Parts: sequence; structure tokens; C-alpha cells
Amino acid sequence: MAVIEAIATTYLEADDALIEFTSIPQTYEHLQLRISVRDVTVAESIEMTIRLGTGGGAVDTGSNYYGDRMAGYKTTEVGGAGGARAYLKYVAQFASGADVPSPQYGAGVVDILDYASATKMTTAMGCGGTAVGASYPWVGLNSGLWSNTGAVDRIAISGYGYAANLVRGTCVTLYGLNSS
Amino acid sequence: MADPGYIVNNVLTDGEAWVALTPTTTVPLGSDTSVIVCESTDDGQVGDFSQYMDIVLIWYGKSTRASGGTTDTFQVELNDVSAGTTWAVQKLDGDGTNAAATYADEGRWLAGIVPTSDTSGGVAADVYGTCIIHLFDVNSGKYKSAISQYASDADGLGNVGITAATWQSQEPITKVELMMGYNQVAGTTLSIFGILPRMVA
Repeated sequence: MAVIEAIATTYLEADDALIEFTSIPQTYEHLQLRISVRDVTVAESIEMTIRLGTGGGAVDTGSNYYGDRMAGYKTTEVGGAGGARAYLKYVAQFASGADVPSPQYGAGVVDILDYASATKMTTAMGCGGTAVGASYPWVGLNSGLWSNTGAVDRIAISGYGYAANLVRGTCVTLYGLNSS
Repeated sequence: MADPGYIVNNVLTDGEAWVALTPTTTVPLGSDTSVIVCESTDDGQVGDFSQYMDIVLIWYGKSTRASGGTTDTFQVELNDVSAGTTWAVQKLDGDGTNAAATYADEGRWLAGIVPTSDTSGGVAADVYGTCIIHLFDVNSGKYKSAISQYASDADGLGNVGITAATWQSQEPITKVELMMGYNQVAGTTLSIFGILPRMVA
């Protein structure tokens, strides 16, 4: 088996509110999302949102997601935390919004650690940004926690508020990482 | 000449998603050098950038600057473009005392702060720094988004930071050049990877 294997790639050919990876094999040690993303929301920078699922069912829509962020925009440093949300909000806070030129897409990497464990809650770590904007170019180092010990077998990705469309050209690849 | 690893007996497969590429400049550097070049071979073989979704570069080195400053600026140039201010860059840096967010429009992407060879200024002789570069969707018609993460500690003097950058050009990336204000010391090294998407349904 490859050390790093591309499990699935979605490249949106039209605006869509959801990118979903299902039946994720439980054969890797960690997962990684590599993302290039633009959101229809009127903003310069905005978060994309993520839900996770286990047990072959739908993703968890409960208020079981938490996160922290350390970020900068222009000359302002931002720290923050948030919890009991219905989706991971901070971990992928690097989408470009509708207020910047259309070729601009934010980008980042989100690692989902030890996702196949059935005894540990799932922690994710993200790093990314979107650098174009008069007021809110953004770079951040982010975390997310799913308060569920189930093995992750489904990942759903959406735009702002887990409702906004992601713009055509948004691309997400899910990778599986092995140590041997 | 070698076929990409995902072509097996003339059949498309999904093997290793991170493909190790060979920089055009020989690394580790055998002597002090101003620029490390990584250029697409444009031949449909392993070194052809046009087949990859992303490119990741892992640099480990230092500047030859011998006096007057303990840091140098790690710079990235794409496709031989340095004129004007094509880059938009948002930065977040910590220097051991303060954290600072800054924004700049740049001709080359100032992607990191790395140590020099200024031993009289306090940089330990064998200290090197690192800068890791991610270039996203390098063959798309988008502006090219990128992030960098850098770290160095010159035995008490240091910097750590992340930057998000946008190269405001829609052309595919075919050449990456890495440089600083001064030369890069002999022994500086670089790994470059082409990152494949999933190709087989």
C-alpha cells in the first residue's frame, strides 16, 4: 500500500453546497484534505464547514463540534475558540468569498488524526488562508474536535454556515496516510 | 526518461500520491548558491508539473550573510516573474517576544524568515532553518494560492510563522525559484513533491 494515497477527489463543475466522501476505508492511520475553495458568500474570506460521520450512517448534525483558531488579517492577530456547534467551523477557515476577484480561491490543508480509532474523539488540524482582500486577507492555524469516539467513515464539506454554495472550481482531495 | 509511477504496464493506477521530483539545481548545495531552481520537464514524464494537482517544497538551509543581521528573507519566484507586485501575502509571525500580523503586496513572495551565518550576532554556527511551501491547483485557471510555514531558532534568536499568499496570475506553474537576500550556504537542501489527485474512479 502506498504511504500517501489519494482516496477521492472532487472538483466541482458547478456551484454546489456539498462535497461528501463516503465509505472511507479504515485502512489508513490518518486522513488529509487538500483544499482549494471559493464560497458564494459576500465576504473576502470565510470558513468552509465540515461534518463527520461514523457507523455507515449520515454525518452528525448535533452540536458536537468544537474548535480553536490563531489567525491574522492585515495587521490584526486573532485568537478564538468556539464550541457546541453543529459543524466544524474554524478548522477550514480559509475560503475566498464573493468580494474578491473570481480567479481567487483560498487554500489549505486539514489533517484528521487517528480517524479509524473507535475509542478516541477525533481531532483535526488545519492551516491555510486566502491572501487577496482590502480588509480581510486571512491566514490561520486552526483546530477542530468532534466529540464522538466513533471511527470516521464519512466527511461532508460545505460553505459558510453549512449552507452556502461552494463555487465551481472548488477542489478537495482526500488522502490516506500510512507509516508503512 | 521514466514514465510516471502511476502508469503500470500502460494502465493508469493510483499509487503513491506524493511523487518525489528532482530539483533542476543539484541539492544539497555543493557550494554557496544564489538560487535553487525547480523547473518542469514539460515532457510527460515524472518531472512534468502539468500532471500534478499541487506542489510541495521542503527547504532546509540558511543564508550566507555573515554580519549585520541574524535573519534573511526566504523568497519564492514563479515562472520568472518578479516585476510589479503580483503577490498578495498575509503573514503571521512570532519572534520569541512578539506576535505580529502583516500584509504586503510583493514582487516575489517573501515566504519565510530564516537564519543567517552571523555568528558574531549570535547565530550558532550549525543552525539551519526550514520553510515548507504548498502550491495549490498549479495547473488551473485560478490565481495560484499558496501557504508557507517556517521555523528557525538561532540558539536563542528565532522566528516561527505562517503565510498565505496569492500569485495573481492564471497561468500554470512551470518553474519555481527559491532565493534569499544573500546566497544559500553549501549544504542547504530541498525536497520537492508533485501531489496527484485521485485518478481512477
